[in-house]
Amino acid sequence: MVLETKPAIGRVDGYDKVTGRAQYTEDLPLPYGTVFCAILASPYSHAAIRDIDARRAERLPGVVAVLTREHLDGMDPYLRSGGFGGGPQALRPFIAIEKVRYDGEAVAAVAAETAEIADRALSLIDVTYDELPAVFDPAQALEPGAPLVHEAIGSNAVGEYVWSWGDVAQGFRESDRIFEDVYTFPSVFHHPMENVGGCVAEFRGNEIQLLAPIQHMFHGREEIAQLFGLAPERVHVRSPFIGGGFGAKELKQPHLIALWLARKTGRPVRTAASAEESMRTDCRHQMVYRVKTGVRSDGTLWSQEIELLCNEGAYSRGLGVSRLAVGGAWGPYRVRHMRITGRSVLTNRVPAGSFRSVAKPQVTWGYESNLETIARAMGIDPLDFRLRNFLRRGDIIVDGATPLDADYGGMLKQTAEAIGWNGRSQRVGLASTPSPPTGKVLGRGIAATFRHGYSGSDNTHASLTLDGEGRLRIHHAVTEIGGGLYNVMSKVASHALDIPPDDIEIAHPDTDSPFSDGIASQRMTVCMGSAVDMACQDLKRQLIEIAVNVYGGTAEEWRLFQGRLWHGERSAALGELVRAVTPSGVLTGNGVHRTQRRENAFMGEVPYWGVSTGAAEIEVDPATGELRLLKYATACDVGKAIDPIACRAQIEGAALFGLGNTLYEELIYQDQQILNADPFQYRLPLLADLPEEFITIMVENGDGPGPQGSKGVGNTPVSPVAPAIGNALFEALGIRIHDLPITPDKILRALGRTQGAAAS
Amino acid sequence: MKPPQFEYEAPSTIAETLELLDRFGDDAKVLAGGQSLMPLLNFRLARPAVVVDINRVRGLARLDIGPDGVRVGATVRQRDAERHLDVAAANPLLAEALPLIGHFQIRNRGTVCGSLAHADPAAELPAVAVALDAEMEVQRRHGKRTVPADAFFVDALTTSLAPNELLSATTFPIWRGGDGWAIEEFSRRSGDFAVAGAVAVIRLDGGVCAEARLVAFGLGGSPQRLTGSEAAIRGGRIDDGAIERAVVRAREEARADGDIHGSAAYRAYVVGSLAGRAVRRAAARARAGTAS
Repeated sequence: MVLETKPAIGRVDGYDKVTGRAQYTEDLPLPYGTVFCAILASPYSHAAIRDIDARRAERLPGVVAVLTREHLDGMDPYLRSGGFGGGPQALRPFIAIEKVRYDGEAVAAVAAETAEIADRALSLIDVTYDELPAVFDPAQALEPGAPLVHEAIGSNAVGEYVWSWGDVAQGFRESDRIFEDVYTFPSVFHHPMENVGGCVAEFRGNEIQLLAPIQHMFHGREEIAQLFGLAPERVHVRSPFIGGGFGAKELKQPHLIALWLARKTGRPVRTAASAEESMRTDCRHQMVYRVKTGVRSDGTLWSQEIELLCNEGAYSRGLGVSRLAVGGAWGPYRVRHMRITGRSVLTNRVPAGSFRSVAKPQVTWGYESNLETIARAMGIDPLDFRLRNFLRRGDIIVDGATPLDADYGGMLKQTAEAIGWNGRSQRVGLASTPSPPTGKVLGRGIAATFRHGYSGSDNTHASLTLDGEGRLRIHHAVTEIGGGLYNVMSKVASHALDIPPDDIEIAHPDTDSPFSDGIASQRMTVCMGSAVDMACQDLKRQLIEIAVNVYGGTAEEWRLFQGRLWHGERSAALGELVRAVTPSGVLTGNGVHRTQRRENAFMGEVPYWGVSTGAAEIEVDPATGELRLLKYATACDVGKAIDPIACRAQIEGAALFGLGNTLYEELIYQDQQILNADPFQYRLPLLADLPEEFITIMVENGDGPGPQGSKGVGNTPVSPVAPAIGNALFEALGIRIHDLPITPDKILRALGRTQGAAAS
Repeated sequence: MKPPQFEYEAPSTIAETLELLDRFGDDAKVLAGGQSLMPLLNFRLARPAVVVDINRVRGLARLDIGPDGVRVGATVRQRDAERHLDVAAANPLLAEALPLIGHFQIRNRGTVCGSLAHADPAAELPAVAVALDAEMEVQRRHGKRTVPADAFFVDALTTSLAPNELLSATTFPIWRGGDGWAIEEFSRRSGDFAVAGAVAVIRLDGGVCAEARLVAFGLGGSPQRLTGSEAAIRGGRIDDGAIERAVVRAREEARADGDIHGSAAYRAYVVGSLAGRAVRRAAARARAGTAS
């Protein structure tokens, strides 16, 4: 399948998306004989399943098959492939077996001739639960006597990752002042516009076809192959356009349930998730950030001890996120002595997973709030304190990784200036302001963040075909998820072969296309961009070889210019050269980009560093707790913006994303349930909530590893938003909210104007 | 989600409407602008057997301004009332409250009477109706009655309308020259329901507060008259001290519920802040009004 685009300007997928031609999973035409799947979800966060009686559902006319734990016929229901290692594996079954461990876990499913019958059948399934005490907070989950999420593991602690250098005890003795603090970050939902969990699943003999929005198609293929006992090659995953993912679009329970029903019924099975179901599939790791910082009297950071609790939710595959949280948990600063401990903890929350800038918004909230508190307490201007301690370009962060490739000081200064501030202030709180107690108060804050450019290993292939009409097609296995990847691919190829974007088509990806690990972790500009670039060079080499054979001259004498190869005054269109070797076929070029996995806290060699800074100006009303963001500026080191509009949109989108978890978003658990897992109660920022001045600075030094010196940008700018706003609130009112989101209720309580627990 | 199954009736006269309501009683729900009912149906929080769509009923879409007041028929859209050239002069508090409802797309469909009959605790119009002693015109098959606003609102999402009755119109009084007015509210996100709000109507006599009506909303139940707060400003000059006393009284007497968007303590506190602001603005307007 190939895009039919009219890309002249703007995005190559823009025409199809704006005109409605672009197909998402729910738009796909249903194969003949498709049946519809509905899933019965647990209403409890923790309960033993005493009995399931699905006989009435099975007898309902129109019901084709029912799935419960009683229907497995000896099949092993646990997902065993993949995983990070480093701790006990809290494996998840694709359908609940002895108990349910989170609100929304699938207990039963029905395939029926219509979606209505499937829904009705669910109401005929009787499940008897024995409620068990549920635990949602990671600190409580570690207390003796806490309910065990997985009895077989014997503890809710599922692994610990430690990174240290120097000697923190010695460091604290050498410090002049010591500061201790705790910050928490809530579990929030990704909230892509397209719900999580839709698919069309088919078994054709012993081959599986799954059409679903999945970011890591090959990983999904491996999980499916393991569960159904097939060779991975027998599993074909195809991902149409993805309507936003932010980490949530992976192989999920509903897909596996649909596949099981497809095998059982011999018919294609369709799932379509509701928003309420979607919001119970995945979330960001709730995190507790506990820090003790020793500082010298001149403001030099000296010794730090950081303890992180990562809430994995009900299932966990090891130390992935705790480890990534440990990597960079102290921020982009030079610290002499360090000890960081990250612990993964099981609770009865929806299992946490990948999420735009995994683990970094959580730790950035911790360290940038902590640093600001220290600077203000020591009477040092926020900017100067950071300038004194920043890592500098060329600093080694971890052995085997790229040295720091950005300039924090300049970026942070520029970001503060963008909101009309020089980053210097000694004011904390109301005391020094002339405003009456009911007047609104201004505050300003800055923050910096860093992350590994992208995580883990990478292996990204691209394959190009060039036909006799000079049209280039790019074959690959990475879906356009909304971030502008297809634009980058198109621009890179257009630049490398000097052909117009109109002559470039991008094939839709599937697991029968050249391999890629998948789109995540802001890696595709560098990885896929490089693979496409190399494939173009491969093609160019072949074209020159043909030109030399057909027209003479030497390879060095032929030059590529405006889509033709030139030798002196003679030139040949690229298509002509293809026709010279095959009258109706294509010429193929291949490229592959690889990054090595390393056993460090960043899980890889880190080809570049994700570097971003933020500055906020707020207005806060001490009589109501209302906080309005007046100005927000982001700077991000992009290396080189291959597509400036898409690049800027990624940074703006990331900042807006960060605004959500700063002021509005949190999944709230009470007793056995999530109180707000629907789009009405769960609050996302709207465009009207954006500040009037919303500024993006793209720093371009051309020093990245991607094509034309580019770096990835989609993740990093999420992180500075919360601490920049929290720090602005600190300047405005002298109060510190330790638990995100920052709500009016919490502000009034921190001011001592109301008592008792604040609502979220 | 999609609504559950229901029968659909679209009467064209009031008589037919009342007959249908009489026949189906509790099983029927009236559909006007649909801005409250449709979400309830889609979330399956309401499962009426019959939806009676009154949008085609003749005579209900009238907005009349006369000596008795601003009479708003059952299907008059909030946006139409908001943009009506004479409403602002006839009742400036109503005109100030209408733009605070949702987004304009919601007001394009939502009706004034629909919002009143739905009686959401966070809605602006019920508080305005109570503050102004609006009169609710209630019809049933064999009769008609007029209910004063403070007797109309019973609790959250509950009014004194019987299942076979229709709120056919609401009359807001014509503004008395010299009265000051203000509505203040706070919502966490643009266009959201208010977390809390307050309405003030104030009449001055020689610089002294002769009458004061303060109504809080968003507390969880019906709009609440803040009588203690009113007493704190009535009979004296409305200066900073009086306002501060009114604020403190409001926080004490507010009967607030908490939910995930704001605790009870938070709501009570904020209602005080907002009542103080409403009083301050209303008093300034009253001063300007009586001076001219």
